[in-house]
Amino acid sequence: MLPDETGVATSPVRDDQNVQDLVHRAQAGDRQAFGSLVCQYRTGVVNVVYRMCGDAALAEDAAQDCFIRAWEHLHRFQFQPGSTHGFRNWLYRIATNCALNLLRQAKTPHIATIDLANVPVPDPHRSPEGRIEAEERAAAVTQAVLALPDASRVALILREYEGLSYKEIAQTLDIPIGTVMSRLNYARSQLRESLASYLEAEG
Amino acid sequence: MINNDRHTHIQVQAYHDGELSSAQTARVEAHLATCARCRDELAALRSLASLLETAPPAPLRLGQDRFAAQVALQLHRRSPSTPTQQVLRTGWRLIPAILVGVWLFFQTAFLLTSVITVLLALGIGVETLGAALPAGATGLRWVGELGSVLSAIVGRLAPQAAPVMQVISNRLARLSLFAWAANFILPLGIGLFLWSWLAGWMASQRQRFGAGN
Repeated sequence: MLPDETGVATSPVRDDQNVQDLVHRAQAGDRQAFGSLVCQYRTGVVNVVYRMCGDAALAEDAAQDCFIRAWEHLHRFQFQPGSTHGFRNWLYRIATNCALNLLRQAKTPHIATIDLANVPVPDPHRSPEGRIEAEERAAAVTQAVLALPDASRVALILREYEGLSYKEIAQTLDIPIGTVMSRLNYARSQLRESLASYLEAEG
Repeated sequence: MINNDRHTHIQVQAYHDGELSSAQTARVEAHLATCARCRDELAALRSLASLLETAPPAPLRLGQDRFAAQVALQLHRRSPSTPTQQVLRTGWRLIPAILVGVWLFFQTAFLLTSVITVLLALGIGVETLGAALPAGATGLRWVGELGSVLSAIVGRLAPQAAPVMQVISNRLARLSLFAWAANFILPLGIGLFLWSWLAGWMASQRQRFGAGN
């Protein structure tokens, strides 16, 4: 199953035989095969960059750059035995590097300005008061994640939003698993502090 | 296993993330049954995960086909690297190291010959070392002639500077070809190559990351 147009992944894209065939054909120069890979992984890559930088337009542009870079370096990628999401993790490594480059080039610090009107709410059928509350909560959560240090933020995003395991995060970011756990622990501690009021409301 | 606060947090976090083995999971669950603090920690992690889900994904402006089409347009300008291109790219990156290595080699060789020259001047090891140096090593004659011409011109324009110019040109003419190469030509060439390489690298980086974003 492929990610649908609303951006919600209906199921994770695994490195099954189809993906392996596409990657091998793309490595041989088949642009159509690479295009199929772009379609399959577009949502995940855009989301990773978006959650890192907070700007949807920039994220889509950066995601395109990410795929271009993937095309240029495709010859370096190799499937590892026993790895079920090797190509996805390799793409996410490129995506996080693209996002970090974006943040370094930005004139303002990491925190992006979130326009409440542009933060889509998952359930549009709520009451007006409920929608406003949901929008504010969504914006607060997005802002709190963006306020995290880059290293902790990327670990959190890969874990909470993309569902990568500790081992996959460690391979994607090229860091030890212990460091992944430390960064996740730190990120969650920070978020619990900054979102304490919303957590109390939920609890 | 569970013996301090931070370690407890890490274990509970790993349990929450489903990263523990069966045996570890059983031990943590046994601990959770007796420790209210860890149960609260686990509940807090679950609440946080639930709250984080309220942050929506990126609002996609472009449809899937249009996004892929834009990527495909840019792909047309590039192609996957061939082995030859990989070799050239690796060689390009090695250029500074090669240049520095060549400079070091000549500097080392010049230093050694200078040491030998000094020793010979002091009369040490004349029989053995003297045979190691090429006989009749001469300077660049044209430099001496050019120096004389320049001295004459300077002598007409600024008579006080003429003696200085003559001394300089005499000393330059007496330098051996090797000294010229090691001290002037080679460093100049290496410097030019290095600066050119650096300028090319900065231009490629700027092109890759898009200057003026």
